[in-house]
Amino acid sequence: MAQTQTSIAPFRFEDLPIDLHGEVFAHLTSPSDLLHVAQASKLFFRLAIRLLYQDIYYDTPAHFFHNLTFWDRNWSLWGLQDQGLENILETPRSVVIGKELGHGLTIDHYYVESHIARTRLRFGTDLGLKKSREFFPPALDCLSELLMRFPNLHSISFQQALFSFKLDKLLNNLPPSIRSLSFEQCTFLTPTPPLETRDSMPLLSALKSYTGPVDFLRSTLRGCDGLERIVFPSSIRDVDALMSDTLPYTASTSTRFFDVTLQKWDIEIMHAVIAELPGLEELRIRVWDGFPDEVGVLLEFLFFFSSERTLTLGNVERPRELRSGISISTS
Amino acid sequence: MFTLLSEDGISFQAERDVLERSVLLKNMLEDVQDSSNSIPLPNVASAVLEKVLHFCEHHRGDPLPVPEEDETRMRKIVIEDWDYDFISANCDIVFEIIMAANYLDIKDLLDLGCKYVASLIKGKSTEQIRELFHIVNDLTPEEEEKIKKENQWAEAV
Repeated sequence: MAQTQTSIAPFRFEDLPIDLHGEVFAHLTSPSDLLHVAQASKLFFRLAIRLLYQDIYYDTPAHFFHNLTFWDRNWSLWGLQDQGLENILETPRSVVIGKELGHGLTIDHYYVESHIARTRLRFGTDLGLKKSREFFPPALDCLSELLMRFPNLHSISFQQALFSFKLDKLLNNLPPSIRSLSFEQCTFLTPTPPLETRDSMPLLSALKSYTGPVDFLRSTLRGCDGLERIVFPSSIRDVDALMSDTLPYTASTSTRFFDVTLQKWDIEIMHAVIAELPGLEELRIRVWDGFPDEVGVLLEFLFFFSSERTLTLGNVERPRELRSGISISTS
Repeated sequence: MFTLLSEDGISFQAERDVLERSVLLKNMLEDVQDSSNSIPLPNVASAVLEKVLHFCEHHRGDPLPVPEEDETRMRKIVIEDWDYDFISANCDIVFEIIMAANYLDIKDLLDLGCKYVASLIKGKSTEQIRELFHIVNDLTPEEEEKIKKENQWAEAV
């Protein structure tokens, strides 16, 4: 009779093959859980760190600047040089920049002129200007530099950030692999002018999804001809500008999803959007003033549903009063 | 009926549709015409094989899981009631069940075992995770401090 399970040492988690460790950790959705795993031992660090760095969230300057040293780590000192971590820069797929870091994205001229080596950057370091002031290095430059190093980055999202500077430099430095760019609840104090594109190539040519102000799409990102999803979360007043400058852009045939917030209802907007975007499948319109006649909108949508269009869902609602919305779909 | 032989020499009988929950056994059975010969499973102990067959018996006839295109779905820890009762009742051999599910290529059982272990980790501190899995901490205090400081962004999410 062969040995039974009760007579041998208990099987431990560490005895599982490494790929099964990965299967287990892949079910952990919380970065803090993954971090706690990574802190348990060298083996667990190696297993969990790649999963942790698939999606990064920088909320405050402290989070961002403390983390910068991670990317310059000499893994050989950890005895981990042969275990795949030398390619950790290939791991990040998405980065979210939260509101506090958004405020910290300013350019410090003293820093720029002083040419202090980046290795000396430390959060909270007083460089002799004002001892009582918490000093932040030029986050924008550091952020651009870091993001450029991620060859597989697919998504960048800014949330509740205040941008007090022109965004052209940041946009110009984003990796070309970006498929999703989002500015959610952001404030822009300085308009971003159209960019001179590099080597006549469009910026972010792989972009599929965009959420943000109309301006960027009208100017800087105008060459993104593969966009499938567009969201304009800010209230749009200048309907003519939207119609004439934004809609006839090069992605008109690829767009499947269009979400726009209007200051005032205008049925012509709905007609124009559907006419300009022949591949549109889902149209969502939020309206602040002049909410339309429900029957009229339903009839309009029904007309488009039956007119050999690709449209399958139409939705009109007030931004904060969802109950008064009108939604209709072919399904 | 087909006969399986565990690594410790115990025989188990099961019908084809139960065994076909395992991709490995399904492929093996395609070549087997005569069910009188037993199928040896040298990597699975009887205590584990019994539980594996219990799981397959319960799920016989269910659609086989298909590979997830959307990776975010895989990350959600959602366990059906019967599955949860099954795996938690066998938590003392959960790693053996995971190993057996991996060997026999039973995707839903492998997912169940991994999700269950992940659910044990969820919300626990590093020290609690070490205790849970009897992990010896081989990080120096300096390394621990560095990991904690550099990755503090993850605590805030």
